[in-house]
Amino acid sequence: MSATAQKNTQYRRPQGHAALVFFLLLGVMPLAAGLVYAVLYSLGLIGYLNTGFTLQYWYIALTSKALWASLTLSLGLAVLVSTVSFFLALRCVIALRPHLKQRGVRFSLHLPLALPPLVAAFVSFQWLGGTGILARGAHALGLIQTTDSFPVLVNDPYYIGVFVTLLLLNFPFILLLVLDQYDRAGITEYIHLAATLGGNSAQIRRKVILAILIHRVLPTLVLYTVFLFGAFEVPLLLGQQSPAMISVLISQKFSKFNLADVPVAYTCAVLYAGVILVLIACFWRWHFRQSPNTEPA
Amino acid sequence: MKLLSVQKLHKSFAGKTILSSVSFELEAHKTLAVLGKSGCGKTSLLKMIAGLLDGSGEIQLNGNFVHTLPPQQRGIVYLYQEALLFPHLNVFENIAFGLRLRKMPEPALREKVDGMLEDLGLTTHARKMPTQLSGGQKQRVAFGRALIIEPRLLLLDEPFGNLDVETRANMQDFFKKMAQQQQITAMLVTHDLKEAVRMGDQLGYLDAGNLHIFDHLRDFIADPRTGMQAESAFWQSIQDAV
Amino acid sequence: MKKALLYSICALFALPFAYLALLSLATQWFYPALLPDSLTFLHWTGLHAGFFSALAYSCLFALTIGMFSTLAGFLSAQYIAGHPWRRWALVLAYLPYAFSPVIYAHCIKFFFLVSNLAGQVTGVMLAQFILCYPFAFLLFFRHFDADLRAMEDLSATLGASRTATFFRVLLPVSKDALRLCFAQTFLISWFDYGLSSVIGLGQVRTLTVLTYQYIGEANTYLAAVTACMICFPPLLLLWLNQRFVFRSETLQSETA
Repeated sequence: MSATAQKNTQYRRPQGHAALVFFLLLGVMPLAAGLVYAVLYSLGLIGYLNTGFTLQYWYIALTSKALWASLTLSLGLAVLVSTVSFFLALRCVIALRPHLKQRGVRFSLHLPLALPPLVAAFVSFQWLGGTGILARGAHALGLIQTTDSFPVLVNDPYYIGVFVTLLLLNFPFILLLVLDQYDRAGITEYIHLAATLGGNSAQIRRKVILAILIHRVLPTLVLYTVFLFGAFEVPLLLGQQSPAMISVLISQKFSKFNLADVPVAYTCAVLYAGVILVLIACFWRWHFRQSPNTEPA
Repeated sequence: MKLLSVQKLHKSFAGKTILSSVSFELEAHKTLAVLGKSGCGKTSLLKMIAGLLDGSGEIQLNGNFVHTLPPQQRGIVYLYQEALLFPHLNVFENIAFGLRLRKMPEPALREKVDGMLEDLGLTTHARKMPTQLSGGQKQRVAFGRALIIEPRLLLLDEPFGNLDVETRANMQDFFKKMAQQQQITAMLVTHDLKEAVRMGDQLGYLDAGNLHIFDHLRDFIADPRTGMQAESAFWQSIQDAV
Repeated sequence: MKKALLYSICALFALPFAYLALLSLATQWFYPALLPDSLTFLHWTGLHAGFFSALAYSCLFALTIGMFSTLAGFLSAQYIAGHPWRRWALVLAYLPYAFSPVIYAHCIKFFFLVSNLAGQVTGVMLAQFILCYPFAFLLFFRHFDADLRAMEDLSATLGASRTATFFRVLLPVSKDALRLCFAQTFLISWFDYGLSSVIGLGQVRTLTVLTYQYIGEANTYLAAVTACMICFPPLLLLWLNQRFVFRSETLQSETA
């Protein structure tokens, strides 16, 4: 074979490598560098108070009830909001599907897209607070006499205000997702098929609609759960100081004047990153198990 | 006169051999139909000839080595199973695409595209967008878009695979007619036995990266791997039963 | 009953915007009044320089970030989508995308401090780009699917150079994706609070940072004004996008 024969054309590679380097430099490296810095800081190897390698900040973080409460609260709330959003969306799609495709309705469903979390939290505060619109309505109806009689719905220990606001922000996305997947999966045909095979409506709902849709939306639901897990603005305005959601807790630790809190804050950030990595791994695993040859939607 | 000569084309990916030292020649104005099952390396073979996939081996076109040239300079058009019409261009502009790249003067371009539209039977559809066409019409436009630049070689990767039986048969006839009329040299890969026999002047069989070219149709029929004998036997048994 | 439920849901989603508009025009709206005593444009006409500088920063960041991250995402995804390591790139892109921006900001703040970018306009811009770019990459990565790559190959075999394929095929075919990506990255930047407040060190005040400041000061009416300003561009984008989406849906159903 001649020398030229070995040198067959390489159609895409050179640009592909350059693009990959660019992507790694600006898309991945900042986070990687930040995490390496956080790990080194958490081990006492760098930072204002560094005294050499130590595990004391990890010990402080891992034995901190506030951190575990925060992680549990954040993860629990994220899973709860995602789950409730999904089942509410499913219910709405089953009951209202033809109406949801009307132009005006679709526009309304997209409206929360235009509502940033900070503004949504502000509006919720104005509505759910002790002197908010709901309390005023209750007063006008004679249900309460003073603001103290109105239930505490913001900065409350049960995170009701945060839950409601995150649900308001999250539900429309999930509704649109379920609606889209319902059509793409051709659920109507499956329903007809199941009915001809003798399934009653409850069985069809559970064994056909839910079974098909849950598999199709699960990866995206996991991704939404990851976003909700790191929610910041809403719990910052509507949550409590303690327990605080993880983003708020880490932010609080970074913002304190006590320098000894900074390494612990970095440790918490590393732990948060660990949880995110596990959730993203779950997302990929579920996605590739369902459709090994495609990239997620 | 031989137009295409392929020598020792080899491609492997992740330790798996896709094409194993494939060599063959193709006469000018002839169609080579290569039959093969899914995953046998048909698409890789065509893409390597077109310059869209790297690998080793030599490719000569009209006696000139082309395997080191980028796809733009080979004069080889590769047509997919899907028509892949540019969605932002209408039928006329889709067909004119290659001529516009070559900066052909507008009057000559119009004349040539109008002629092609007439040959394709699509004159009344010139201003339509791709979404307004049927599957067969789209495939015709795709052919027109390729043929108008007078490629030295046309590579067809299961070009009628997405069409229904009737349209498929019509398109096969259409291609035969165009190939004759425009003296096209083409290489077609398919998993459809009937299509291969119907369209190929020369027949080949690709299996696990090895290409075997048959000298005569009878050799093709005699080879049990092609499935020709089983197919004939099946129809014979039906006829006997009736 | 179904319609009542449906319209209630729609009204619930529209209500925050109506309420913000009303609050921004209200004066002396104290408990337990259900509606304000009077409406006035006082809060809108009396806006100070700080508001306009925040508006200018937000516009500058959102437009620049929208433009650059869309461009960078488009170009890199175009090549990486055909790269043998494409799946790894995709996996990696999800990490910054999924990370909480405020925690991300705290982790990278050190690098901005040592490079004198913290508290600077360029610093906030770079930080927002770092946040938006993986998102744009992911969006375009899905866009450059097998069909589009096949179209790119086809254009090459028809004789088009890379430049010709880019301008004559890829750009026109990707018009919708480019528009969508610009709108989305514009909004990520426009809505950002966590990253801007941490990297900006409170010195680079965007509309969200200013809104948070007003909320902290219990300056409800001005917070409503800035909140309205934050909501206006996305509402406009949404309206334009809906018009476009419905127009193309109608076209497709007519031609199908």
